[in-house]
Amino acid sequence: MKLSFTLNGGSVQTDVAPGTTLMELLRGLGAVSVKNGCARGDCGSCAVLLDGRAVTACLLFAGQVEGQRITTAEGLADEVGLHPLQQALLEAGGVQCGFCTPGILMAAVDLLEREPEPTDAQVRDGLAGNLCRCTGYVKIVEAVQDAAAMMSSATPVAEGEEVGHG
Amino acid sequence: MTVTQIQQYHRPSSVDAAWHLVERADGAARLLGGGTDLVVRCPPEVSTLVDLADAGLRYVESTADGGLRLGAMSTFTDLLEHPAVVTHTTGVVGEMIAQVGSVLHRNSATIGGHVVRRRLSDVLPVLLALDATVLLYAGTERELRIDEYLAGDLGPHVVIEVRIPPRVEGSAAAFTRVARTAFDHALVNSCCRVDIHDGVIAVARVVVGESSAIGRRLAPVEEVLVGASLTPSTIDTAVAATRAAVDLHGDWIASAEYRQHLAGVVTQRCLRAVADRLPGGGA
Repeated sequence: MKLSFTLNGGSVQTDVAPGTTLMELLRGLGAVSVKNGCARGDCGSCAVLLDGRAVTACLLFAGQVEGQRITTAEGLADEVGLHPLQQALLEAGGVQCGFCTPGILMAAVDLLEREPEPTDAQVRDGLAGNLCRCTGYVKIVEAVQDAAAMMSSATPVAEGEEVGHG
Repeated sequence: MTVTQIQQYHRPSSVDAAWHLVERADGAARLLGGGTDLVVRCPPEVSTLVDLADAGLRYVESTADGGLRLGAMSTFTDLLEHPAVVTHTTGVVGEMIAQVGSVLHRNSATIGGHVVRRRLSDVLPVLLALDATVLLYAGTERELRIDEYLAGDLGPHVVIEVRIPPRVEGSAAAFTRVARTAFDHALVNSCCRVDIHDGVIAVARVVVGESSAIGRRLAPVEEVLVGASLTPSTIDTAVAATRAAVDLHGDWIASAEYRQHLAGVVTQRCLRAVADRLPGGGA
């Protein structure tokens, strides 16, 4: 079936089998930050933004994004540099094997959009759907708080503007 | 992974068109809400998906009398961000939704899809306790009480909206769950509501659910409460009646005996919270 949507700011027209999941579609389009961890909505490794809200791409059919705006971790950094969340995860040591990192980034982007100055409890709740088997979460939570501080001192993103740094 | 049995995908622009697609497919078509259940649990006979995204069912409205109309395609995040939803009947709806799954699930799971699937639910006990109704379409519109909806084999139909009646003056409700992790299904959950009239309980709803079931009202416990004041001793009696009335299953996660014990615990916590939320507060 024909499908048309926006991926990381670019227009996509494609043809997919009706039973294709969003995760498979995005990986097939080169967005390999969308990780296939559990394929049943438990681990959050495949999280992407669907019109600005973090969802598990493994549990959505591709057809559900017709006309919608999708952002993956590939869409966070720009020519200026990394997104503050990416930078903060690097600096805080919130990345070890890195498999869960793209999903955590997308969940954290959603969280900071709703709660620009989250408490630790709000960060943990916002990331409750993302499993990390390496870090123990402490440094991830610290990184999200660091990013929130960085972003609160930066210029606000205009409404409708694609998520990204700079 | 690709659900290879799916051969057709439709996005009808009306409820009527969606119903016709399902009704004519003779069991081979399934309505698609948020999608969080269907990818991993698509029944083998289903080869057609009917996506309701364009059917105009994503809305949340407060009625003039204080009731709620929750469009079937409203996500749990939509509900959690609507002030009238999160404050309805002493905040019980918001309290419950905040505990459903993770943010990732709440951003895509819909209230309609949740009602239709009839299992693994924190939502249904609250809807049962609040005497919610379901507006559905099967050629014509019908409104059913939520317990009637859950009990019936209704054939092909589209859930249009879930309706929650206005809060009754002197009413309070609470929801509690016990689960292994933050977004796991509840081992046991409970929602309790009481309406106080002339200082005593005029209406009581005590609902207990578990991970594999949809929750049910416990009439013997409600009978204990009606006509009484919600004092600590009344709550103790209700807790004992709850443990006597439930019939919960055991599995590799928790034995039936443990779930029976938990049923008393969650009901006690609920009723204590209800007492605190009543005008004058404190059990």
